[in-house]
Amino acid sequence: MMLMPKQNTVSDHRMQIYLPRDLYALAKQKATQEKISLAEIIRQSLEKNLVPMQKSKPKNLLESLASVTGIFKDGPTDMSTNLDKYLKEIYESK
Amino acid sequence: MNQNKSETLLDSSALIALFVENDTFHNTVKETFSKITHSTLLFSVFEEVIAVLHHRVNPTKAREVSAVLLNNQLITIATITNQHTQEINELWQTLPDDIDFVDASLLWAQKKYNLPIITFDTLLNSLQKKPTNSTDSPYLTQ
Repeated sequence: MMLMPKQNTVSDHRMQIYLPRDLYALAKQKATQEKISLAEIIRQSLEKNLVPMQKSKPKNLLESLASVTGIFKDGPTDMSTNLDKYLKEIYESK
Repeated sequence: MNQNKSETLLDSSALIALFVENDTFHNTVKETFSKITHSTLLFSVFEEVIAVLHHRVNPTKAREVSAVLLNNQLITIATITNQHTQEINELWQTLPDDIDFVDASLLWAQKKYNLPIITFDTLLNSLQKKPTNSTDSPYLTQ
C-alpha cells in the first residue's frame, strides 16, 4: 500500500508500509465513513499517538512537576524552613 | 545510586516549598527548578516529604504528589544500599546533633557524587561543600 502525502511539499516523506489485513479493513472502513483518504486516516492516527508523547516531555524540573506545584493552597508559610518542627509534631501525635 | 544525568540532589525543604503555595519560598524554588533538567531524590527524602504532606496538610493530595514524583521523567529516585548505610552512619557520627540521618544521607551523596543539595535548611546548606568557581549557583539560601 502506498501512502500519499496530503500535499506534496519538500519536507513530506513518501513511504510504503505493510498493514495486517484486518487493520487495513478497519482503516478503510473509517476512511469511507469520514469521507477522507486512507492516507489521511493513517496520518491522523500517527499524530494522535505520537504528538502527545512529544508534548509531554518536560524541559525542566518545574515543568515536570507542574501538575502538583502549589497543590496545597492552605499549608503553613514556614513549612519548608521549619520542617523538623512539623515532623516532630507528627511523631509526637502518634 | 545512578548519578549519570543528575545535576542536583533534592532536599525535603525545596520540594515542600514547591508543593505548598503559601510557603515563603514558593516562588524562589519555582525559579530554581525552572533551571534544572534532572535531579536525584533519595528515597528517604521522598518518604519524609510524603509523610509531612500526608499528616500535616492533605492526605489525598499527598497521594497525587507521590504518584507524580515516582513517575517523573526528570527525577531519579535513589535507594541506599547496606554498604552505603554504613558509610552514612560513619559520617553522621561526626555531624552536629541537629543533623538527622536523612540529612546525613544527603551530605554523603553530595560528597560522593559531587552534586549540590537544593535546600532551605540553613544548617544543611552550611555543611555542604560548595564549588568555589560557580557563577550561577543552584544553592538556595534563606
